[in-house]
Amino acid sequence: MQYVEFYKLKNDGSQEVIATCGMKDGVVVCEGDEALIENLAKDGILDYSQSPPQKIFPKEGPRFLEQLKYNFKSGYLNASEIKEK
Amino acid sequence: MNLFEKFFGEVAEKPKEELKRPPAQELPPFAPYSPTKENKKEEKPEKKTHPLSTPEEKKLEVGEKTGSFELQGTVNKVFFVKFEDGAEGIFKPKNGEAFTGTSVEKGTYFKRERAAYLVDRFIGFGLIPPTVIREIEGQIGSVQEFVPDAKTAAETLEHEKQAVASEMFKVWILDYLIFNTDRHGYNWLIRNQKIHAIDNGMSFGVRPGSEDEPFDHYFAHFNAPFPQEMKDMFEKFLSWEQGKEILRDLLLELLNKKETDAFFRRVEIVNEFLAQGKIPYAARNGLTFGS
Repeated sequence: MQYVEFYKLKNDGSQEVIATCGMKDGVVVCEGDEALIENLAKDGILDYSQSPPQKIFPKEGPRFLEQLKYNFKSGYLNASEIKEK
Repeated sequence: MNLFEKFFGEVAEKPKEELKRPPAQELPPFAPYSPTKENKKEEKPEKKTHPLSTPEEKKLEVGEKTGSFELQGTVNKVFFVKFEDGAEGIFKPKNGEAFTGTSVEKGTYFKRERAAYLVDRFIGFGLIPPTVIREIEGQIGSVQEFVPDAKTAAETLEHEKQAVASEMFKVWILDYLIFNTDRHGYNWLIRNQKIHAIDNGMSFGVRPGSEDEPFDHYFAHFNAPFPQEMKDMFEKFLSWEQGKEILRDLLLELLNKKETDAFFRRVEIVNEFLAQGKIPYAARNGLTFGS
């Protein structure tokens, strides 16, 4: 299964996984930090492969998963590359 | 006395605790400075040097690195760095810039992080943590003061965002001025009901095909009156001729002339909106970010 992890930066410089998003029946299902999941579902993320970038939502499946790492890259909250398990 | 001391001498004497990112309205460093007859001659040659170095910036600029961690899960390389004296920062090296999602050229993000901070600092909004450019282990990049105990906007619920709505208005104006092409809904931090605007590397460019489209979270502020505090700060900056001159010189060290000129044109546009007291929704298409 393909999935993405969200890493939250802590005060000591270490990182903690606070949520994961993975594919389930063609859509993205997220688990973990409630506010983050609510915001992803409500506000979506930007798809930078489009010019101009367009909003996409979990129902859009793999494209949503692929774009997470471009939306979460500040250091404070990062999204991983797509992983397999 | 150099130009830094003239601007920041008073701040440097304050107790250490007060130097921790004072609220915007208390930022004293950029009060208009009028040279007297006695000091005018000696300050002039200093202008082209580095007049902007607060105590916080100095710690990040010259502090000895005592530890660093490369952070997982970033398209660009990002490090959490600890310095002597307890300072901590987010280091983004030029060579680690890989993201190509906007029109801003990679390899220039680190300069834009600094340029955005300078604009924020000169205007006095106090939204962007101190940001400097320095070399760490042979790699040049930006170092931004770490904001501890902060939540990213992605981890906050609607009512928490509502509590910082007036701050968001300032972010909107700042983002317009620096033309930040990447302030999507997750690129800011909240701590103690204050916004910290991070990730400004994709500023001062253009957003192909959508220069007229503000991000969703700004729409609530169309037709809303400018907060008085923000109006005062901006008017103070506008009347500070020397400050604008210094800022132009500093930006020209980081950006090209076209980008710098475009920034100052946007300053004039914001000034026109200030005179109207609000940004009318009808002006949405007039808020073009292009140069």
